[in-house]
Amino acid sequence: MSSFATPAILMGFALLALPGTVKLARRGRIREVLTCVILMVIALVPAFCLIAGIELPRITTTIDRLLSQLLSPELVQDMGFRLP
Amino acid sequence: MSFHQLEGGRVSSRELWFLASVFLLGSSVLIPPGSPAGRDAWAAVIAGCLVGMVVILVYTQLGARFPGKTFVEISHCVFGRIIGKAVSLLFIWYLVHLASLVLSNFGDFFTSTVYRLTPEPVIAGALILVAAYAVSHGVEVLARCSIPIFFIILVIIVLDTTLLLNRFNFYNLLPALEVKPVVFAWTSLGAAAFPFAETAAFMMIFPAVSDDNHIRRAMLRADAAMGLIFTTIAIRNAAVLGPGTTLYTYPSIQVLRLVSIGGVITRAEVLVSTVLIATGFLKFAVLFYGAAIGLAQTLCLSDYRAVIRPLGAVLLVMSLFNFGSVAENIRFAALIYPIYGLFFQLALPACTLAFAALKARLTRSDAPDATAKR
Repeated sequence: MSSFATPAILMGFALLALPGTVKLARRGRIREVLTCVILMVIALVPAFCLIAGIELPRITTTIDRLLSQLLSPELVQDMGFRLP
Repeated sequence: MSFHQLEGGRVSSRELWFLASVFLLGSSVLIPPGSPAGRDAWAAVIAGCLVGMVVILVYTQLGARFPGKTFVEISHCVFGRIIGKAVSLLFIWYLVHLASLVLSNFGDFFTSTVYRLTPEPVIAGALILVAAYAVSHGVEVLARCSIPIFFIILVIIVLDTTLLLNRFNFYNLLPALEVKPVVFAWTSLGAAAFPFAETAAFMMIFPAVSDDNHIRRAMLRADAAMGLIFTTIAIRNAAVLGPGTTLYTYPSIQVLRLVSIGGVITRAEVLVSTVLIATGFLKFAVLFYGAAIGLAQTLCLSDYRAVIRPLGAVLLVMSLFNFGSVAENIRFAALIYPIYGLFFQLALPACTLAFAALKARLTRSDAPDATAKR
């Protein structure tokens, strides 16, 4: 897959919400429009980061790193995993 | 906005049972609960199922205290507007993150085993489109989808276990319960958090249940029935694969690869893919629906359908940025998820219930004083 395929798919998905948002804007539903725009921006930013070659942190891996500090090293090893 | 202003759908407690059962099967078909305990996974599943029942008792008690209200509305009632919104957003984050994890599991599995040349966003995107269509039609559609899906899955699970009967070696289950107590306890908690207690997401659906006196019974029965199915799967995997169960990323797939009846009936792993497509879709759709309703209630929107498409795009992005590899996924599920998941599934509803009880007691003790002053 070319390096632009993933950002293109992500952008396509984010832009799928555009017609609905325009419809809501015409009806004057400001709250709904704002929510849609914020969600679309959240979806578009990683796509632009991919194009720009900016590495984004992995969500669950970050949570893993934060919470694994609460676990005892013995438990991590007993469960068959390596220490971080 | 109350739930009934946003959504007019109603489901019976029987449909809730089917929906909860298929939801519980979800991605656990791929990563069977209790796997880190190896041949003792069946015991970890039973323990996890019992802990899951405790979690169900907690959140159904909360639902019974506030009938006709979702968790978002309950948290607003109990904690007030600002803290209530913060608690709601925490719960919505959990629903969104869990939905993205289901999507990641779904994409990882298909790109690593079945569709090796297909890009992951295409597979995840296809699931999102179907789920978004179902979610936009409401909870009734999801509940009715679950009934045929449940029976198809039941037939497949019975069929593939029967096809493997000639490979069963029950000596592989011995010596039983040799696993370290700490590992067993942690694995049982892991089995409780994934998948039994994940039904906490149903707190966003309870107001749609028409006979709300039977919610607790339906949820407990679904938990027990799926506990039985997971125990059977754990025994099957350990009896067929032996001590090597823990070595495989997807033990159920590996087990079904061994099916060979006279060299004619082979490659039964396609059955797991069929089950995963059905259960993965429904689990993802329930979480997606819960997140959309929750977001609409927290942000005071007049229609939850407005957020479905942009939320779908966010879920797609999150599913692609969850893990670096499948190994990280398995590490997270086994080590971290018991702490992370049980915070949202048990601690959050339990704190809300405790705070609601305390608030009710304080209000009751204040009431006679007020009457006496008059």
